[in-house]
Amino acid sequence: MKIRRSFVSLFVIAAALVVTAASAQTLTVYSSGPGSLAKALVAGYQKAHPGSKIDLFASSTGKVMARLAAEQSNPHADVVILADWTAGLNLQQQGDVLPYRPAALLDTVRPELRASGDFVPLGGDMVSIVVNTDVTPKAQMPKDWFDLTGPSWKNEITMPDPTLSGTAADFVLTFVSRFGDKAWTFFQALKAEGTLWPGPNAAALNPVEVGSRRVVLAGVGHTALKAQKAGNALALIYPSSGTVLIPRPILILKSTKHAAEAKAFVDYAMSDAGQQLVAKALLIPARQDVAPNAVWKGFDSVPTIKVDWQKLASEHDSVMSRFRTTILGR
Amino acid sequence: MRRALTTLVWIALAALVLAPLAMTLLQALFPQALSQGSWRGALAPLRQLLTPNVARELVGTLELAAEVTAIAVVLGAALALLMVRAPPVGEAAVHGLLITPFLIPPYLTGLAWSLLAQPRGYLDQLVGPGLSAAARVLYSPLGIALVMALHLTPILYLALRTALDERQSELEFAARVHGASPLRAFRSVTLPLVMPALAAGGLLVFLASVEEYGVPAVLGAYANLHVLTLAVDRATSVYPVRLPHAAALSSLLWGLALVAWLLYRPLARPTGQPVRRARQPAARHLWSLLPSCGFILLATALPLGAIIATSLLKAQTAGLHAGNFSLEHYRAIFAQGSSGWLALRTSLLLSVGAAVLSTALAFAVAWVLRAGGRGSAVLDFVAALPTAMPGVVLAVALILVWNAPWNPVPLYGRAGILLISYTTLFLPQALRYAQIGFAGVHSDLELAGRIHGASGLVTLRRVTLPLVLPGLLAGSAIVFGFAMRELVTSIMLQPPGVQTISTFVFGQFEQGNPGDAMAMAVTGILTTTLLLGLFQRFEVRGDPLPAPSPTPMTSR
Repeated sequence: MKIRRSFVSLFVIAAALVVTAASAQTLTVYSSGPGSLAKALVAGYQKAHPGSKIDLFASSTGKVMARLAAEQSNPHADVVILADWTAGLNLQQQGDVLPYRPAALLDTVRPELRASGDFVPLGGDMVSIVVNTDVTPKAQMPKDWFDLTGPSWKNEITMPDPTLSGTAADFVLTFVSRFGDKAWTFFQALKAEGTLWPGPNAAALNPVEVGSRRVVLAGVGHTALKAQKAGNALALIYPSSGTVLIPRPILILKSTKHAAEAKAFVDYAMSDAGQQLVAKALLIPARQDVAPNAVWKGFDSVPTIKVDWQKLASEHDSVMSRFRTTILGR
Repeated sequence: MRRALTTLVWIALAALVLAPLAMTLLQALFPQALSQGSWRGALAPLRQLLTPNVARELVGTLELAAEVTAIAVVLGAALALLMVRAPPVGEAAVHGLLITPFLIPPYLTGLAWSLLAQPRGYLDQLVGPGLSAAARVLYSPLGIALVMALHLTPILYLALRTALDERQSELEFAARVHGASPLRAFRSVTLPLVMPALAAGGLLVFLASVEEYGVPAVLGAYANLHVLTLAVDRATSVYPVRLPHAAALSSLLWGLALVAWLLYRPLARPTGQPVRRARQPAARHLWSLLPSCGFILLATALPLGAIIATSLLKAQTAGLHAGNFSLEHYRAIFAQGSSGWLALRTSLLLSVGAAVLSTALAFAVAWVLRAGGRGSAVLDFVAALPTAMPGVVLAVALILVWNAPWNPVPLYGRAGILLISYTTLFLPQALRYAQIGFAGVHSDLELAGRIHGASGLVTLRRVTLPLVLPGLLAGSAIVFGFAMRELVTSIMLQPPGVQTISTFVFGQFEQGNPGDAMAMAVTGILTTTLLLGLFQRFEVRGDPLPAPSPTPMTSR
């Protein structure tokens, strides 16, 4: 009898599970890194809007975009936060974006982050060469991207995987568009000297942080700055031939059934409170009246490559596919 | 009654096993049939497998599986010989500890070893630097094979030990009496006798290594490892999604697993009653503690120690010293409503649900199978088929079925999809136990019930079910244990806002919070072990049950 009773209770638990799984949800947010920022924004929004419920899926840009593509016929997300502007533009070109770019919001945005599109930037970030100064001889300090080839860099470089990291993808697109064949020769040389593409930014930074490799090529700013702030011997080098300042889009999907809440969420993210969270996550806040963290001091004097985002977005698929097959070998 | 149940069983198996596989093959053969209803582009995904990149992934998978099998065979044979021929002091305890690697899921062993061997990891801190070689080995294809082999060696150890126990003394003794040297006696008598066990164990390890996703996912990135499981995962979870390519790669991987499994199946059939001969009481040796405990240290003690230590450290970088220990990571998990707490709850609910569903289905299948008759061999095969279905293959298949626009039940993207995947993955386990349960029930008892006027349903409920219940409960406990640690489909099908223990551990580790990750890992291991222990106590009062034997599932 005892046995049978426990079996019955198992069934009851299973039934409860099904009920829980079917319960309603309000807003679904998909976000690429930093996951801590997405969590903080969700928590802040819920505090400002008591009773609201938000489901969050936080991963790398490549995985968020894959999930959106897989769910195309049956979309779940309402709001999407991405790490690279071209990914946002690609969603827009597919007709998936509900335009939300009110002039009142745009007016608050730093001019250098006002890229064209049907959505606003949540913030921005810059890629650089991240060097572990403990294990890199002074004489070998790179000054430019192209300094990173040659025998002394064999097995010393990592780079975030651009199929996963949105910022690395926008870097590759910009780099190829600026340097053409020279860029592809450079990537081939990197591959030949044993460069690793281990995953998104955290995975690329880890070996350099602990010193088993010397340099992250095109490492994203906020991850490296966080590690630097924590006391790791890291230097961020902005190459003389220029880097990219990448706006990070926050957008609403056309398929949303909660447009009003979705807009309220974007408004919250762009409010002073939301932008303080962006600054705290060590991104450059979109609003000009919110100062970036002190670690970004002097970011506006860094040489950058001028970017035509629409053109880059149109080249996205072909460049990334070439990078995946010839450089990553997948 | 029997007809109805048979039909129900076939419907369930068609939905859980056959439809997903059919959809995968269809997608691989006719990529546009599902999306656009056209036969155009037929076979294109299969043709796209003929590239150097896919060839490298196939070779990578085969190489890795061969290395793991070789290492596990050598280690397992050595341990089995040692334990039988020169048992150490405290043999029973050592035997128990030798199979503890099963307690830790493989991906966790991988994470633990990276905590141990990475530069400035625990080995550096405890033994001193100069162990950077350890890191270099760990993040290489060989290191990945070693970590996987540590986890799978117990399969071979158990298989060979049983074979040696049964076969050793008398026949070999006879050979010695007839003048054979010890080496010759071993080579021409004992070795041929243990060959079937060796082959079965080796194939199981090979199958598990071909299917393995967790360890390559954890360590592979730094070793530039190219294997099929990772490629399938990438084709579905990284933009641009290439579902036809994923389906084609899946079919290839599934084919590999199927071959290994089909070779294994005849070997796994019990070859008559195991003969328990009184073993000559072998002398216990102190020296043989050294190799056996060495294995335990590498396979269980060190990884578990690293996991526990990490879960208790305040600041990971500050290292192992008093003052740096705290319970804050556990507090973070057990805070009501925190993401860790929710993950724990989700895993518990899903695992209980999967245990109930797969056990119920297994009971029905076993009941139909026992009645025999036409099609029972096919039914047996289909129900056991998930054994040869790598987790990545099932995940792709479930996406194809449950995210299809024509499917009226859009389970994809909800927690329910994980219930489906767990139930399917662990059905063979539940079935084995259900069949063991049925083996002890004489059909006379059911006939007696019928003769005394009970209907078929009443007999099933009041005679058969109570008799097989211990077997069913043992099976559901095993399914529960496996579901609590399942990684592959949980990560590939992860619905928004839903985390399980394994995706939480994986995600927190990836995002640089190893403390929270490992606190969750410890909680998961403890919860599972405690609950399984409770079940075991519960069973002891009833009929004695066979101990769970290793299956390919050990890799999940």
